[in-house]
Amino acid sequence: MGDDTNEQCEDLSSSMLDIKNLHVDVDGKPILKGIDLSIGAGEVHAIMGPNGSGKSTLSYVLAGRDGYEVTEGSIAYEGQDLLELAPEERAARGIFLAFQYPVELPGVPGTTFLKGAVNAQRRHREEPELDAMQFLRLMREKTKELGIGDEMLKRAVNVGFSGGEKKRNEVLQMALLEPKLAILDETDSGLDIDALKVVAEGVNLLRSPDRSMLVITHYQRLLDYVVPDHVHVLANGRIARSGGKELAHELEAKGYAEFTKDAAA
Amino acid sequence: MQQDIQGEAALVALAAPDQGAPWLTDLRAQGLERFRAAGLPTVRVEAWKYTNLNPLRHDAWQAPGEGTNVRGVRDTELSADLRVVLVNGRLRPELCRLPRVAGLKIDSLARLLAEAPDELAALLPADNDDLPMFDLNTALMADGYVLRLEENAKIDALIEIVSLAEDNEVPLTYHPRHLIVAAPGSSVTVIERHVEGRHRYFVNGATQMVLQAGANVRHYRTVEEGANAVHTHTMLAHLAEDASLECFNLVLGGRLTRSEAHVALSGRGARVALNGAYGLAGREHCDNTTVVNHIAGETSSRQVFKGVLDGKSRAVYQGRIAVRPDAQKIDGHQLSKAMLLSDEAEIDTKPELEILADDVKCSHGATAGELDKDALFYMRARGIPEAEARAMLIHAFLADAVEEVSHDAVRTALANRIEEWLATKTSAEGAAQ
Repeated sequence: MGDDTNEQCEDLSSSMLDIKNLHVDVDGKPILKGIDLSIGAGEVHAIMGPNGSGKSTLSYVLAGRDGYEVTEGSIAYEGQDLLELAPEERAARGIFLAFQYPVELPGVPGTTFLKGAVNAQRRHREEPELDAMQFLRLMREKTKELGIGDEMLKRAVNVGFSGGEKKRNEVLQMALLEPKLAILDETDSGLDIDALKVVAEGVNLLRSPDRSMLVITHYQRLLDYVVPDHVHVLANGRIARSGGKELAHELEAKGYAEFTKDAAA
Repeated sequence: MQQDIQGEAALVALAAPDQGAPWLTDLRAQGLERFRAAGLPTVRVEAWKYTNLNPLRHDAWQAPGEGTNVRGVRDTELSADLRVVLVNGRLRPELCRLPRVAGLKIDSLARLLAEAPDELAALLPADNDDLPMFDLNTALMADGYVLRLEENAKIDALIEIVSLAEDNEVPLTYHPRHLIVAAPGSSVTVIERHVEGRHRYFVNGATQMVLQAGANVRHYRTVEEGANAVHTHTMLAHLAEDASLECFNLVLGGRLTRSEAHVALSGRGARVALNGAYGLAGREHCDNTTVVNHIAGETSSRQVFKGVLDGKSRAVYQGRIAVRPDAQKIDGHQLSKAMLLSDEAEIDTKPELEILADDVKCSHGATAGELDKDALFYMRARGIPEAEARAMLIHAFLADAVEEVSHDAVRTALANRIEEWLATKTSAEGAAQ
């Protein structure tokens, strides 16, 4: 557990995600300035860092959002160049981004959206689509497993949802889509402690030996519940330090001052 | 210049000396006279500022013949037990399904004018100003449906009106006139389907409605005209006290469509809903123009129009709400929302509130925006391909307006129709790529 950074560099063949020297510009401004990160199958990595360090940029680049220009470096996902793929192709291949700010879709009912997503991914993988009954059964199974009521699925996606409902909805989507790599972008933000526990329990239920997770957070709080294998500190567009789960506690005690100072120097 | 007036001259030339009752001959002559005086409206006329009728100006318009060249009526989700079929604006009894329903009479205008013209003598004249297309209809109307409800007749069955255009080599024009007369306490739901024809035609319809005290009429239209068709329609409605009129106008096709609704809320407690949705592509042009006159107190009006514009299409929404000085406790609301999918698409919105009373709640809102890029990315990040995600968002946008339709089966059918329309648009785009 001690020297985690070396461990993850040794065996690249089992890497789920391999980010090398990643530089990303947003509106012509460099935000990520040389990220190296390898995530093995089944591993949970946490990325912590102060505001503006590039945490969300990293999550959006992985999911394929427009407006994030990779100027240098590479991202390999299951050994393939991720940057060539459209967002929907990435999703179909198992990448899931739980949004920091889940988007409202007025007029699109939750079930329509989720069935559309599940079946689009199945089509892409050349698997048979689920019919209405099969989908309903799957949805019931997942909502029960997560202890999430299904009433919010009858409403338009995220419209009028509380912060907690939005994040629970993200976890439910993750459960239905069964990704190989889940990226949780500030999933704890805006949640009170009870809502946080519900969301964290959901995430923990989805931990499995074939599912990797990248948990992005400002606070250590979430990591008390979703305990990571590795913790990285992102500061000023670079990974300033990596370590085990105890690093999160250290950051909680000391804050990010040390890293922001280093970066500025 | 000669060419420019050819279309108008051809239209005027179609007016024939009438064989009918003297009042009818006079009515037609007056309509023709007013139309000739005003001419085919140009964009210099304020009410036509955004809708250019140039597509009408160059053709040698002809009146339709027997209309035998039709492909028959396709059943759809909106097909009803009661069906009226018009071909080139002429009611065709052999294609209709009209079982006897107590309290309901549906006739052909042409037949009534021939056999019992005096029944219509009080109904057809309309005191209208500045409605040249309605005047043209008055001059040239040949047929249409006349729907009459007896007192307290509640017609549960949906009445489907199918309007077909005959395939023809020459440019045809026809001017159907429809009448809906609802006696006190009666109610009815009508869905008009204007089905596309392949050739070039110009249909200039008019519908007159009289809703007596407490009558309740739901009047829905789907306009899916052909790519070469020009479709203009003028509705004139009079509502007595506590009468209620609900309209929905779904436009999904036609080179140029203009739907005008003129509603007089003449009796206390009368209320009207004028709603619509449209999906436009290519160079299609869709105009919704409404004029609501709050003549009596405690009357209300509500309007919701939503549309999606692609290509070089153009939409117009003009909504006028007039409140008379002595009409108090008025509610008048209008909303126009457009989603522009292309840089070259355009919407012109002109709300006009003319309020001369003080105890009035009136509002209007208009927005024009693009497809929400964040929403699109969110859906794609869940694996939904871009084209499908766009279709889902567009459908949701339009379906929101369809929610205004109070008839369950019609609401569902209209939402499904939009979905089908989107599917053909999406696959056409896919094929073009």
